[in-house]
Amino acid sequence: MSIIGPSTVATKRGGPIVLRAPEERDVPEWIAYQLAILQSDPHKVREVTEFDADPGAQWTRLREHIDDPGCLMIVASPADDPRRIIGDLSFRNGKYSRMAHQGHFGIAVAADHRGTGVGGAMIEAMLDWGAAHPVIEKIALGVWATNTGAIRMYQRHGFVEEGRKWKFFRTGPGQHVDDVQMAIWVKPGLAPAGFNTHIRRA
Amino acid sequence: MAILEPQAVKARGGIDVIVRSAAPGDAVEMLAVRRNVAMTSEEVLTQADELPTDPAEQRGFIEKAANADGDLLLIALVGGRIVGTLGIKSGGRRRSSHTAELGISIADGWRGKGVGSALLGAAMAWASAHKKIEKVCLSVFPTNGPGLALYRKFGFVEEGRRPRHGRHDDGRYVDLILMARWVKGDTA
Repeated sequence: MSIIGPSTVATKRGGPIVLRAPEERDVPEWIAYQLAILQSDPHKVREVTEFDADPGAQWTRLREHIDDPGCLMIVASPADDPRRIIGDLSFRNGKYSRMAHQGHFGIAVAADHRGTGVGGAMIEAMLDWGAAHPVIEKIALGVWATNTGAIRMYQRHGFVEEGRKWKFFRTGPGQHVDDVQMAIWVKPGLAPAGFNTHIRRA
Repeated sequence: MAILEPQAVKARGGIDVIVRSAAPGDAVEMLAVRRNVAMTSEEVLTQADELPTDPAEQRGFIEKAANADGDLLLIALVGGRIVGTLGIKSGGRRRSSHTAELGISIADGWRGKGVGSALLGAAMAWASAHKKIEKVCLSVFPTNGPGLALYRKFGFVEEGRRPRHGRHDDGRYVDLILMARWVKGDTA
């Protein structure tokens, strides 16, 4: 079981939020949240028409993710509206032994809560979880090169660029956006020169 | 349907290689080659105990690649025996379906003999002619000198280096080099 919380945390520019694992009763709200994200956020590889809105299929996916010891799934809710989902973070480690010490994550925040610190709170929770995890040493992400606000936020949390998959996203004929790959270490003594290590909060 | 009909290639040193799409009947021998590669090379992601044990699973991969328009699963044969494999998998979303990820395995005893070139030549010709694929990507450990040389020969360039992204079971770390090549002339 890779879940955290529920834990209530303060956000920088918004109210307190609860970070927790999704539950089966969240599925209708989860689907509405996902559809709203895919409609409002241009920096997603998946288009809204590519989302499977079947509740059973979504719960199966969430369940598999929650049950995998190398994966982490966080949803964020306002402390005063605990069934509403305003953000999510999904981390998955490598499937094979040679890649199991590292993993990638993806994150989204509801349009009316962007810029309030929900994303940062989820990232810190994931980094703390990674630091305490028996296997995870390195956490990586991919971000659209045009999403400069997100890149700055990842840099503030210690992530450093390790590659740039040029023209990885295609937004139209002859139109592409690079995929910036960033990483951070969560165990001491392993980060190569130029990279950072997350120190777990007490 | 992505199926490549058999092509005869004269490899380095005059070896006659046949390159073609894998068929369901190749599953058992392909699995044996994958096991051979896993046991004789540290340069692949999967180790022997992580491979499918049931040939039906390998047959599933073969059928899936044959039925997917953007996927390709090739085998190289010498004297009727499989000596190498190549897989290409296209991105699963509309916004990533112009990219394809490529991987190659060459059986022990057949490395450095031009089998990889024969496979990659056929695959790159297929990708260049494909209506959607614009970019072919791959990842390779820096310890894989022959692999790096082969990819550079076919025009792949480095676009990232993930430090300590691989970890051998004895604790040795290895970087992962990201390489790519644009296969369409219009937008290099």
